[in-house]
Amino acid sequence: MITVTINNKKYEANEGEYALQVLKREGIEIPYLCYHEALSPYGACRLCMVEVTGGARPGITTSCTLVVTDGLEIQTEAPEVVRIRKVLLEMYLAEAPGSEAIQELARKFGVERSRFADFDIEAKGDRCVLCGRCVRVCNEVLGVGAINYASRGTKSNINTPWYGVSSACIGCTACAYVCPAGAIDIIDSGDERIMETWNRTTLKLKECVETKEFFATEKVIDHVYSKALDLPEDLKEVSAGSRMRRRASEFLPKYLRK
Amino acid sequence: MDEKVEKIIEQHQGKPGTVISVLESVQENYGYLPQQILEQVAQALGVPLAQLFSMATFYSAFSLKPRGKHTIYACLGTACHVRGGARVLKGVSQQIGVKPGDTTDDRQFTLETVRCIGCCSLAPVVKVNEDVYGYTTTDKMRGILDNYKE
Amino acid sequence: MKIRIFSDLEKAKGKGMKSLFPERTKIAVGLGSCGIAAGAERVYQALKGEVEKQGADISVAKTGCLGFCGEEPLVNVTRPGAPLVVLHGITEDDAREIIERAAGGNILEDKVFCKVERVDNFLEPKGIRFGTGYANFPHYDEIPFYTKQHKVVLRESGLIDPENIDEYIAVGGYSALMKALVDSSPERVLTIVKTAGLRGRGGGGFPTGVKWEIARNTPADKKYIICNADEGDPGAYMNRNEMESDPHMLIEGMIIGAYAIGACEGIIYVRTEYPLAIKRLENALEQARAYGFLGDNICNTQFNFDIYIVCGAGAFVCGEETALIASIEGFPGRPRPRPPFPAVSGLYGKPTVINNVETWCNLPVIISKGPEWFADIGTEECKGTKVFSLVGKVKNVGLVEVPMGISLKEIIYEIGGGGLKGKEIKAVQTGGPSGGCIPATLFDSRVDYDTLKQVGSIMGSGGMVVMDEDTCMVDITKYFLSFTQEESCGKCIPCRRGLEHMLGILEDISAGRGEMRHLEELEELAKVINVAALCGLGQTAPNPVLTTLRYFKDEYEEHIIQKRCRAGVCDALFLAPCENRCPLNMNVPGFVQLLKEERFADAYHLILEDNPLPAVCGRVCHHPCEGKCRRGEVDGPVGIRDIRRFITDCVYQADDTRELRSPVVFPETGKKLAIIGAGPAGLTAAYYLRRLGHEVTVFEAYPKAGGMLQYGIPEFRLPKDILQKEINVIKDLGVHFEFNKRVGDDITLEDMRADGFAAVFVATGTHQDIPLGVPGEDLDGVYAGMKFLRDVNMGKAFQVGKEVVVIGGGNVAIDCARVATRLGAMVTILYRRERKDMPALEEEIHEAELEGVSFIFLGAPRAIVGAKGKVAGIEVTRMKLGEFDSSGRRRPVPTEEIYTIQCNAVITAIGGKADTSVLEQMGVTLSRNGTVQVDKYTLQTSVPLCYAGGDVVTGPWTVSDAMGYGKNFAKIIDAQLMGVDRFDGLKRDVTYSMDVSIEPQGGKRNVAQCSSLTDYTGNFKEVVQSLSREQALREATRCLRCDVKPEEEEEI
Repeated sequence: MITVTINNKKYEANEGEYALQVLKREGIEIPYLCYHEALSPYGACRLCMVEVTGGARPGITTSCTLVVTDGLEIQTEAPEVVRIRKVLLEMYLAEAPGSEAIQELARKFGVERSRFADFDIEAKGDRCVLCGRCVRVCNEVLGVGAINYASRGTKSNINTPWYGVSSACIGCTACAYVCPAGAIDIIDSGDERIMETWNRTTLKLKECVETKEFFATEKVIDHVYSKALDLPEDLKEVSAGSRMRRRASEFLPKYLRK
Repeated sequence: MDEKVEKIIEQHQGKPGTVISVLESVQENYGYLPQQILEQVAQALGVPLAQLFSMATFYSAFSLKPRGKHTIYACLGTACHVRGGARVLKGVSQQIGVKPGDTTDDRQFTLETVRCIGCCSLAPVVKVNEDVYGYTTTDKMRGILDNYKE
Repeated sequence: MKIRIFSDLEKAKGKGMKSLFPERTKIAVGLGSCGIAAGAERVYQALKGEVEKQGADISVAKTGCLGFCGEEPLVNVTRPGAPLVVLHGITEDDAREIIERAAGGNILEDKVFCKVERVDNFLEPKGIRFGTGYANFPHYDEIPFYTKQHKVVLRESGLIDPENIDEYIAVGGYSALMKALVDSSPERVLTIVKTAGLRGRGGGGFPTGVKWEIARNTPADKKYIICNADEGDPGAYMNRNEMESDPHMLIEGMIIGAYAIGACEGIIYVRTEYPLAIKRLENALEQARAYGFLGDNICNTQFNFDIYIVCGAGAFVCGEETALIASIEGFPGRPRPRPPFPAVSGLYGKPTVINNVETWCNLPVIISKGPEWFADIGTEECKGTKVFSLVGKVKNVGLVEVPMGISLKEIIYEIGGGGLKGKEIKAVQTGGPSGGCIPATLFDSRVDYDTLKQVGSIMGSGGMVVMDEDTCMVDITKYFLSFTQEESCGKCIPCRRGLEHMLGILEDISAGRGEMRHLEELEELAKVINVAALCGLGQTAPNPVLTTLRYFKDEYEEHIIQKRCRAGVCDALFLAPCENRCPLNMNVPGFVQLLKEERFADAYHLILEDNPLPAVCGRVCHHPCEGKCRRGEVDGPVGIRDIRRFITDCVYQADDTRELRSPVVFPETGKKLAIIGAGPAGLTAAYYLRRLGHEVTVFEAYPKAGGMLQYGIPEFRLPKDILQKEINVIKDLGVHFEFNKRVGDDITLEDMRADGFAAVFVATGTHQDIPLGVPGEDLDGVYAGMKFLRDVNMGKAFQVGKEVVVIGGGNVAIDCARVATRLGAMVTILYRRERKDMPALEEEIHEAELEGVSFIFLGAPRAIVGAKGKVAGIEVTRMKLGEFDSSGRRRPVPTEEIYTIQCNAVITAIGGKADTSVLEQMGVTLSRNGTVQVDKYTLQTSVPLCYAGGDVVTGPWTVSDAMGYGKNFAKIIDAQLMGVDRFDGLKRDVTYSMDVSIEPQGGKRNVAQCSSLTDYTGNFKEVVQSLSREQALREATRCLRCDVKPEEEEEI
């Protein structure tokens, strides 16, 4: 354990952690978008910036990439940090005017209105903030890589190859799960999962043999089984609830027999 | 897999920068990056197609649409800008009737802008394919482009 | 054959020497990309063809670039034992003669640029020696472009064949590599690099040895080195040349570096826009492999290393090291957060050292000559040399290599030769889009990493773009921002959107939609992006904004407040470059077109809208419009002044011009305005104010109106009857004149206020001569210039004697001299600088020469000597040219030499100043040099309701600028008094054809017939005649009609 000083107060931290992790754990609230505990630090959104005042090279830097060391001193509310944060939040309001989550985030940190009005957001729509979480979870965690950034600069957007239906997508919905702006639309309709945002890529859902509910796409099941070893075969055809009941029904009798 | 594609992959496999070099060779051989070819490349190299699409749309040397027979690169580097490059670009654009990035209807010319090909002493510079022309004016370009027309 | 030991190298060296210095004549063509673009490839083919045709025993070879790109195509001719001779500007048509002469052992003399007898390439004790001879050809280091250069990295460029490894070895190549591998350990090499103090040449300036050490000390199974050859800064092409002209130097440097670091693989990441560099590198790598410098067991050691080339694909951001790594790894070039730094975790997660081309190129010479030798060059903090690409609005364009610490002015004025066509250099841009614009006033600054940062720019990779008075700093900033915005990877929002927003503001400002709050917004946003952006591209992208706001804020303000682009670039803000430059904004294309249509009356009227004294200006204006005329880039500017004179002379010659002279006049406003001084500024103000309906009274101290026009400019330049005609136009509008009324003596400001004048415009000019301040000035026969001219114009008779010396270099001096010749004297003008520095109009100086006036330059008056109280002569100190000052002129410095000129009279014309006693009485605040201080945009003085304009504000300046002040004042005060801007209502609608021919018409400039007289004694008739009718009509067709803008569908 090491000691770091945040806003003039001392805290304990684990060696090798990132400053943002410490802040989150200690309930010191600062905004961020691209950081996610399941993903490697990306440093794209620039919202989590803090000022280093001691113990390391002084300056303003992103806390999600700042590895804590013993004696590190940071300030999260230094005037310049606060000013930068406000300007960035104004930019995000104009970047994603259609995202309620982004508006809430801005409001939470004191930004109601934006001086920016004319961002060219045609290519990416009015909700995406280009934080890249969806791309990173699909590529790094799932190892699928169905979506990625396209173009660059103000024309940047995230989509499938040639803006078409994706043959690689497995319909796991991790992208929508990690999206901080609510920009990804998925509709489950009958035995189909329609990835609206990914050009209506449609996947077949598997029906639970017990409850008849649709619980996962066939592709997700195949994908899981291709990665994991020694999974019982029957899990391919039951929902999570049914799985629990089955296991319980195997387990309980042994227990109750006592 | 297409034979041409196989050869390209072979040429670059095992060296650093395989992906970008393969894409460059595809661009050179086919004049653009066709989807079916990139699908083959994705499979052969074991990278997601979406990553290749990301590369294809990020770098300006790549195009998703077939280019014209001749590509006109009007340089808008600082030295060329200061010596009137923007006017020459406007003149050429009006002359052949397309905006930068587009190709003429008869597929003869594609007009691109480029920032600095390093011939700043001859500003303003226009490159057609591999030929570099210096001290250009709209009038001069008319004559130069006529030489490329069939 | 593999080269493993030193004797192997010697063998290859022998081969190379034979190729470099063959036993027969060799002709090498400079085949870098610039040379080829200038036609060098055709020259090369033509020469080869001629050799075959003529059966000459001459070899034709290739070489790289000597750096002086503006002189391309360059051709080197070597004969055994003779100096290498460089020919410049060669075309394929010269090929035949070159070969013919060379076959006979001769040189094509009129194409000779310079000779090279010996070049010190540092590796060879005697350097590269060609031979001595050709005494009448300059040696290359006598050419100003080369004199102050110190070629270390470029030592062989343009002398050896870049496609021949043996020639590289012949001049010492690969000996450093062998020395490093055979004689030194990797640690030793690392120490050498650290001691040398080499800093990264890509722009960051990070100590190279330190970076290498970090990588060396990071444990890993594999390490990489990368050469960053993604030279993307527009205007910078040093690396391109280094790779095209001397690729082996880069390769050798990389091998040495890999050895020191412990890397097994090297990658050269070259941008795809450099196909020739790629080709030469591929060729060189093959040759290096064949000799065993790359591969396994290099030079019989355990060291294995090879180099691959990866091409960029058109993304400037890939010059950033983490983006470059991402690109090689197969991803788009999106930068990654640092730390971790590449030296610790880079390509594929391994320790990777990335250095710029030029950094690697410095290694061989550091190893060969030792670190102390290298550290001796440059400054304490910045060792060694740097190659810069000197481009833009400068005479000598090309690549220059100079020691760190040299001043900007040495590079721009001495090496670069100063501005083009005598234009004043305004700024230099260094560091590309990450850098800043350094104003000319700071050209004394030393070129090193820290000084450049202090002045707000950066060294960058070496691009140096010179800008002059025709460059708009708002436009340049807009240019850089549109570049960085286009190249932004888009990963982080401050760069992606911040730059977009700033660009939007700049577009508004240059389109005339700017507001002052925009400047604060730009600055605030720039500072946020500086800190918040993820990578160097975003962080430095706002720098052009910050430096231009720091040094050129007035240009921004002019765009916003006056909706004016003084450089004449921002199209939306002006009609045509000539009109924009004119202090009165005359609609030049309009009246030229009307002349072309032979509508004389309409042309005259259009002129009168903007200028109440057109016939006067048609004779004496300094025509700055012609300096901006775009026809000037073709075959000489349009004779705008001559055309205006022709039109007005024509109209005045017609009998009664009363109907023609009826400009628009508004109804009476009941407001009274006072103007002090009936010179050009006052007359113009009176003209417009009267037309706007106000009651105008002009108070003039002298008996007649006109100021310098009446009492300064002589009759033979401006006939007074013409002047009076134009004054009468103003009088006939109803302006009251009160002559012989001196403010302070006869009437005061309080009197005027009491009389109900709503405002007062002070335009009293600078009519007092500045005394010379030398002994003898009080002798009989010494005349103060402006007083002399005034007295002559008033009819006073003078006896100046046979020999007169006039001191000064402005128009007053010239006028005095020409008057003196008409009084029968032999006149000499004494000026302390050179002819080209004289502020007088070139045509006036020329007229004086034609009239027999002699000139003595670089002479300063020391004392006037007298005999019996009268002038007998003048003692002169000979001056010589000293250092360049920051405006690009050499300061005259006194020598020990003093001589005396005999004369009967001395006329001093070294400048004028205002009559401060009068001004002090009025209570207006004066500046240090005695001129009235006014607000730049309102012309208000420190005294309420008191305004000022013309020479009394600017110091002695031009007629049209003074008139511009008068016009401006009228506009400003009318808007203030009437609460609304009514000025444009004074214009009448005139239509004329907007058809323009595509090809320039009319041929060369038409020049009026000049008089064939040589003796003007007693002759005060007008000297310069008008254009004839045919000439004028033809001249009118030469106008390119820059006011006609093509249809705009969309912004490009």
